[in-house]
Amino acid sequence: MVIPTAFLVAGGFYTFGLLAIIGALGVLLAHRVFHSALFLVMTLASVAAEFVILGADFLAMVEILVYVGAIMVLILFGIMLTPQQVHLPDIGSAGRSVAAALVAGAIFVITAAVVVTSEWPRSVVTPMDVPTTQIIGQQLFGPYVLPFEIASVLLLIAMIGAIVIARED
Amino acid sequence: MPTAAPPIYPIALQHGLVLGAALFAIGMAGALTKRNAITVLMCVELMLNGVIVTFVSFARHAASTDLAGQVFSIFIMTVAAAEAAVGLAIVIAVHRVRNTVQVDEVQSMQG
Repeated sequence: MVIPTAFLVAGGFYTFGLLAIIGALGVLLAHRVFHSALFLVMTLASVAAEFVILGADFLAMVEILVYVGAIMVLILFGIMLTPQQVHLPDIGSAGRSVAAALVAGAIFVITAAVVVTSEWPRSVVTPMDVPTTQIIGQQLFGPYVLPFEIASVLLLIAMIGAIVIARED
Repeated sequence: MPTAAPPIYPIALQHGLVLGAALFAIGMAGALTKRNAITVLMCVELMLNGVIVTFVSFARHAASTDLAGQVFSIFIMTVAAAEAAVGLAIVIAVHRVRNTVQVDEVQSMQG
């Protein structure tokens, strides 16, 4: 029995999309900060899987390396180096939480309504078996070389700044 | 001989965009309500991921093959990494001086 590729692609997309949203809700609703971090790992890994399904193989690897590998380790170090209360209530009163939920919900509803009701140009199916690494590299060192250099300087500044801010004395 | 119709990609562009919007909205709700500064940083990462999902969806469905959306996503990840590093350095510095990581207890710059 051959499972059609379209079914696999669509099924994978919706499964990992659901996992990503569940993980995001877990970040939002978990009481312990460490649990929030684990849920964030789940969301980031699901997003990486979505990138594979959307034909962005290089970005999926970068997502795993940078987010799950580097940023999450940094966040776990931050959790480790600071005292954590287990049951930390949310900020402010219940009214503020309701207001924040209303604002976020309104943004989601408006964005989704615009997305659904807009006329999008018909999707063009590009071949999915083309590796994107070469194209991205040519883009980075071609038309996007100036943003690339600025990003390098930004990373250098962030590195120096983080060292200066966080060191003792 | 008629050419075969191009296969239709099984995922509509809108579904990726709605997923990105959902991640952005959930992250925003967390960034507005969470009290722990590290959790706020995590929620900001969620918001950035929502935007990245949007860019990659557009790159998948765009007519051009120059992958501008994916290149933009790489720049977003760069900024996210820098933001996480500096943000956590600030959290640790605040913890050293004020002995707290709760965002509502650090308000000495409030007018």
